[in-house]
Amino acid sequence: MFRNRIRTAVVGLTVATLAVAGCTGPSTTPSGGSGTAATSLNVYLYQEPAGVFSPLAPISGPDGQVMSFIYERLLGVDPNYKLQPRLAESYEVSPDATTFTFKLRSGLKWSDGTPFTSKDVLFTYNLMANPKTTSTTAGNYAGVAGVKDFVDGKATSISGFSAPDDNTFVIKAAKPNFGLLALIGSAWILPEHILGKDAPEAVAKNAFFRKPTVGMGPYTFVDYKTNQYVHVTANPNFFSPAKIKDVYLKPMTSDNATAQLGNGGIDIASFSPTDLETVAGFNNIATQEKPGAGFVRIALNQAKPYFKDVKVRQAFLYALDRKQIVQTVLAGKAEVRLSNFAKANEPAGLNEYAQDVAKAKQLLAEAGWDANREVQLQWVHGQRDRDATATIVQNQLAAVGVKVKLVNIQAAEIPKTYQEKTYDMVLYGGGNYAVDSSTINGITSCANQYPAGGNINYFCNAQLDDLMAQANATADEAARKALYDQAAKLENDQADLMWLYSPYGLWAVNKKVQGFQAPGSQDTLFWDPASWSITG
Amino acid sequence: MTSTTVAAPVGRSPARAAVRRFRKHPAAVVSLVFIGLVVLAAIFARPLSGHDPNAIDLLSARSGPSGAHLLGTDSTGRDVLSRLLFAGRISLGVGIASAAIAVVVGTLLGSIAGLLGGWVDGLVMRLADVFMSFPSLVVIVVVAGILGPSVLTMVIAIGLFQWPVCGRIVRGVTLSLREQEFVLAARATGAGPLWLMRKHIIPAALPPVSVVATLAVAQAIALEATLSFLGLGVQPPAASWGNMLTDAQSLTVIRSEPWLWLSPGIAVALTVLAVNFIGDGLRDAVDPRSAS
Repeated sequence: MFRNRIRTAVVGLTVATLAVAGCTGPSTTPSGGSGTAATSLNVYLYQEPAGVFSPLAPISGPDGQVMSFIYERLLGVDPNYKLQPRLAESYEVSPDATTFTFKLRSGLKWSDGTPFTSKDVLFTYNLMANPKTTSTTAGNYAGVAGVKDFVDGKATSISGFSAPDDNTFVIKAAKPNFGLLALIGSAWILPEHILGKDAPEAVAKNAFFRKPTVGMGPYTFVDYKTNQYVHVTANPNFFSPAKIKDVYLKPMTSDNATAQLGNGGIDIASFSPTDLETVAGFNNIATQEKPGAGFVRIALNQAKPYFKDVKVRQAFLYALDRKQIVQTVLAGKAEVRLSNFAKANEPAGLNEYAQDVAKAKQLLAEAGWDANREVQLQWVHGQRDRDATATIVQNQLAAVGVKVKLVNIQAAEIPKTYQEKTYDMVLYGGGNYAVDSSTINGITSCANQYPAGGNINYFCNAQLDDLMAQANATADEAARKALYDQAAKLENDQADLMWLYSPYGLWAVNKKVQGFQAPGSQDTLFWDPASWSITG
Repeated sequence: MTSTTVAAPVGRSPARAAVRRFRKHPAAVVSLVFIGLVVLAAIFARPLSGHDPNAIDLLSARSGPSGAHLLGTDSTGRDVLSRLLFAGRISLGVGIASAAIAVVVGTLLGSIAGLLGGWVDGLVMRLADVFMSFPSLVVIVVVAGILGPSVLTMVIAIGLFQWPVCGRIVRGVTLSLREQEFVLAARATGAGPLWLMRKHIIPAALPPVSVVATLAVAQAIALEATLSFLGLGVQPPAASWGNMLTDAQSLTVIRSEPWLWLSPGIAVALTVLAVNFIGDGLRDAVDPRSAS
């Protein structure tokens, strides 16, 4: 305890010294110029990082947020879920959606001064696609030509990846697959000159990932003090050098972060809708909000005969007042979902399933719903919005004659209920369906029924699968959109899930910070920290 | 206690004396009245509150105290007063049930240990030591994690962790009685351990055990609130004072919506305090040495 306090005091002093240095130091070029003003910024992390800053490691929110400072990728996902060229200057998709050609920015250097070439990209993609490296996203690369042969041991390299010259990197898909671009185009690029000597089996254990001081990102890793902060400093070799010199990413509780926003201890932090009033009350703080990429939903287990009838599923949606749930539970800081498709990607004219108790009752009667049947709604207790939503769903379904029992389940027990198809309803959330709609296939297609994929509600509609496959094989944007629109209408009509809402990412930003663009949730990567600056 | 009152001469019986001593303890008397009111409020929860404790009203969520909702509404528009009263049933029920388990198990094991002595005594007392040396909250959290949280698990777990206090007292009483001449006489005429327990040990142990039981109730109520607050006790939508307090985990709620946490917080505090006062009063009452 005491030692911690001393450490905190020392850190405080260090930070204070830096801040003082920022004020009294020779400020020759106030803006522009070298672009690295002697300033520092404190950013809230919603969880303690695992401390392995590796794209091969299991995805972890806080570690990913740190990685968004120190690594860079071919394509980035901006806060509006659009792909933007980063290390790539431009990219091209062949008309048959099988070949993806990336032109890299020229003259780039790693933070240690080593030149960056397409060989680094090739090296990284070969690691990412190779299950022997323990890459947790290796499954995403299954659609690349030659990956299957490589994984099966029939080939010594992956034919689908090539680097024809120092500034070009090419990915070939095994079959038309436009979604591959979004799926694997944004992997963090690793330095071959540091990690290239390791065997694929050993590379994930390289000490580099605990202290990754060489990167292509806008910032360079300095150190990670457990329970205190991750310190990163501006990378002078970045293609558009950062304007703020030092950034401290500090894990702490949400309450603590909210309090520190008020006294200036934290400059950027996500916060929960309940704290909206408190945060809005701080004079030095501006707030931003952004719809999330995933959504909170209730899956109805369609392996159970009584949820096979689409009328029952539609009736369950009509029973709910989702608009009011968003108003009450999330202070209006969420959008009601009408399909698995993100609002920005969804066609006009979808059925809104606005609350209609009479219609719900009628549909249930037509489907022959047994009023004595009790269905269980399971969810993991602990998130305020979901806890309240579960209670409300129980009440509103009771009003149309459906008995629901709430079952608070441990997260570890959930896969078993999927595997054995024993559950009735499960409330959960997450996912990212906004960048490219092809990801929706993972939770709707017959082939992706659990455990092969994320279709845990055992929904199956051949026509929808067909539309999704056609859309993903179409490179032309307008034609692809038209196909996805048809798919969205069909999916909206089939009510495969009880879509509830996409919570907004709510962010509080000190008014002295310019250029910050809120991510869609507390655990989403930060976008382009190099463009942030501090005034005053 | 009442059974002895019947046989004893009016005004002079130990029970009467105890009641007299209890009444000299004003805090205990006030507490007894208070607990009586709490029990009545819990029993008549529905007519008193006029609301269904689980009925949501999204349009009036998080509203402060008003004529329609005397203590305001919670985050899904449920009436806080009615939840408070229904929660009283669960909180008192859990407290009494787990104390009962502790008393039954403790009395049984304590008297067996005292009567039989020898290795049985050693075994039971070491078992008691083991139970007392575990941090009960941690173990209960683990048990709830493994078995899944439920009221029954919680009652049994709390009860099992409280028996040693009672067990030791009963053993002490038994040891002192065992060598008394009326017990020896009973034994000589062929009385078995069960008969001795029923006729001599339990009546003699009742006064000190009642004190322990009261304190156990207070402890169990506080423990229930803690566990439910952590999400490991009473499961939603059922209300308990502890899980009503879970709303108070955000600084904003603590500051701007005090009605959500003040009433359950005060209910837990006052009930536990009152039960403890009653325990104190009982201790003074049943221990003649403390009589003035």
